[in-house]
Amino acid sequence: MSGRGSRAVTPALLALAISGAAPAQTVNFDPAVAQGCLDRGEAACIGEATEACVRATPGGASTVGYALCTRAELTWWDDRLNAAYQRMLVQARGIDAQSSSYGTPNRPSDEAALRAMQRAWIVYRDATCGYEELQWWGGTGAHGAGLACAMRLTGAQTLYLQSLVF
Amino acid sequence: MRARATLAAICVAAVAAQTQADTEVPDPSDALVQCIARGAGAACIGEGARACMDQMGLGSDGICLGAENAWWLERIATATTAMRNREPEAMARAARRGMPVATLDQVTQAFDTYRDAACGWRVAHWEGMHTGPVEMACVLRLTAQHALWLEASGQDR
Repeated sequence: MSGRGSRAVTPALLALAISGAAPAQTVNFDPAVAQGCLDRGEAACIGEATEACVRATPGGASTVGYALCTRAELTWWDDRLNAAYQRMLVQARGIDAQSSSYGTPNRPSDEAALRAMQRAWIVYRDATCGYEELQWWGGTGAHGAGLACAMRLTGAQTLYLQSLVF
Repeated sequence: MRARATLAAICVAAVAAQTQADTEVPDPSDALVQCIARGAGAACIGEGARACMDQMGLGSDGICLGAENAWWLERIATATTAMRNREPEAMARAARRGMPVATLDQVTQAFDTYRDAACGWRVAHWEGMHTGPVEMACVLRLTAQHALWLEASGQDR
């Protein structure tokens, strides 16, 4: 899930993710590993798909290989986050409609709260991962550190939203 | 000052008040320190509260979750101090490259805003009974994840 603040705070991270700053290379990313993590619903397994990808890809343990595998897992979680968010939006609208029909007084809008929460998450992700990348700035691992941060936070947010879908 | 106090402040205050009233709350440190020493990372989140609840029994979830949250907040404070000491150097690097980057204070503020929005929203799903422990569990999970990030970010470079 992208946000308007991303470009301002993490330009290097996005450069790698969007323009393919790294040389063209195919990685062996197995979605089933990431899906297994999603099914378990445990934050501790976020990143396991990257590790599996690194092991399965020739040259995967290189800085570029690691970054590409991380980007693959980030993309996978980002797609799931978008899907979970869309489901939550539908659910929130249903809750709001139900509350309205019941005449529940002063109940805040679930949809508005969901949107506010997700906007706050995007700001948090951008600030955190921009800061993370800065800690490594000047080294070859800076891009990968920013990507890994975004992947971890995106995975955690996906698990969180997923846990609330009913 | 925000119109609404942050969720963390509320939870910490509640825990502090409860802790004063009940000095028998088990310290979550042992379970957490042992778990982290095993390298379990995020899987350790909640271990201290679980150990506490095992000892205290039914109805202790709120106080035990709060006790573990306080433990992670201490780690955040320690890690933040260490990172703040290095911040001028990091910001100077960013400035030399003309790179706009959030400061540690901005990261902290972004986290506080996100935590309040996420956990407040979650509570809305549980209106009525049991909102306290649900909110505290959410605050604990996010606080601990943020603490682990701070600690990892301050190492391995």
